[in-house]
Amino acid sequence: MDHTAGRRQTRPAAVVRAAYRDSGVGTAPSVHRGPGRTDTRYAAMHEMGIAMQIVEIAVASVPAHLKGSPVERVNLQVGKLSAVVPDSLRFCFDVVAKGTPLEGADLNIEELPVTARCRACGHVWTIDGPAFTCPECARGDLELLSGRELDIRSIELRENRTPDA
Amino acid sequence: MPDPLLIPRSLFHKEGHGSSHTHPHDDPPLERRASGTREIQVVRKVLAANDIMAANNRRLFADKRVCVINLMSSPGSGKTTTLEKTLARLMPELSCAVIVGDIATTNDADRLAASGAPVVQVNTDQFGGDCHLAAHVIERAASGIDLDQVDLLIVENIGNLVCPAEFDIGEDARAVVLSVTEGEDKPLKYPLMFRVCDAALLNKIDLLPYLDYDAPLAVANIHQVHPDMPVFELSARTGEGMEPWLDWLRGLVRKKLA
Ligand SMILES: Nc1nc2c(ncn2[C@@H]2O[C@H](COP(=O)(O)OP(=O)(O)OP(=O)(O)O)[C@@H](O)[C@H]2O)c(=O)[nH]1
Ligand SMILES: [Mg+2]
Ligand SMILES: [Zn+2]
Repeated sequence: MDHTAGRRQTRPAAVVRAAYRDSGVGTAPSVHRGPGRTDTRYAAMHEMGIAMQIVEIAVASVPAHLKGSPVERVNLQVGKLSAVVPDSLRFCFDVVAKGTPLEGADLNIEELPVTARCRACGHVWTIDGPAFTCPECARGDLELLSGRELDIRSIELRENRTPDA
Repeated sequence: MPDPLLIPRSLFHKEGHGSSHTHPHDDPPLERRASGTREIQVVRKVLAANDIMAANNRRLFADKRVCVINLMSSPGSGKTTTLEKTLARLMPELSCAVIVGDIATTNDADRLAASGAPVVQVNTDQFGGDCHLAAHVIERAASGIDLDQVDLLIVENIGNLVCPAEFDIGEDARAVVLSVTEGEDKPLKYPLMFRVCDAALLNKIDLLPYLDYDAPLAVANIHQVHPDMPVFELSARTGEGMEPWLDWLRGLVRKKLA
């Protein structure tokens, strides 16, 4: 290819070990789900990192004047196309919530359907199976309107004092 | 010195990372629920931290004019073999580098380094075997490469069809490798992966004469999940069918350098 030919020189091989420390972002502690469940290990790992993020965001979202109030519920929206298994996520959440204000909190997962809009004809529909073609015009250029969410909507704190109003 | 990988807590409070922006986070509205709890609106993407890191990477790669490809597949579909062949064919004309992720071992990096390209191996076992490469891991790994000297950076992700699909790393394009020794219905079982990718490789076609495998059905299933996505049927072992895939890569690099 003449557009880049000779532009850059190749260099000798170098294998570098990336030594990086745990940043606490999207990484997971070693957790096994018990005997006979090792086949689900990868899935558990993935959801473990996500559960850690949920706990971190939820803890940071408690307003200063309510610090210390136990969190009773975390309301989460998960799109059906996201790579999250709700049961695995709840399991991981219970594990990582231990020792935080979220210990024992309920992870309330609202699953959202996969919806799309056809860019060709404007048709909007809900996708139930793994078929991403417009049922109206049979074209495949579509915009996903929902289904990939992985959002915390709100947290609920237990009232541990009388209301001030 | 602060760890550059630690995301300041304040970033979590930035607007623009939730799916709606109606609630300023410094003064969250409290709502008293009938159940005796107070509800605090949060509205934050759980993976916002990764998205921010990925955006940083994307800016760096744009600055350095490096085209970045995220190559994904289930374990053993042939990512490393495809890369070995790809590097051998592209290195004379393009300066390539590789980041390869594995839970453990440097076997893949050793194989790829034979090409002469700089290779950075990332092992995730120290994290308990993370199943994907997150954006901050790519940032750290890329700092071991002289990006000024690189046109094309290929990331071989951890062998897994689920998790890597969810984690943006700041790449320009994503490709998924499916081999003819896996089920034709893989695209239907892992639709997110095939949705987020820009191209698919159907690898190991040299084995087709020995298998009862319906390649047109596999391609149709890919297109059912992602209509119009380019599918390159090839054999990384024999090199058959590599040229359209290489042309696709060349096109991406050309676009990035333009
Ligand atoms: N027959 C045949 N075998 C192949 C081909 N490509 C890869 N293989 C073989 O498949 C096995 C796995 O290939 P790799 O390239 O290591 O696969 P990978 O996706 O990098 O695997 P992980 O990194 O472990 O996820 C090896 O034994 C390869 O020799 C091919 O085109 N034809
Ligand atoms: Mg490999
Ligand atoms: Zn339509």
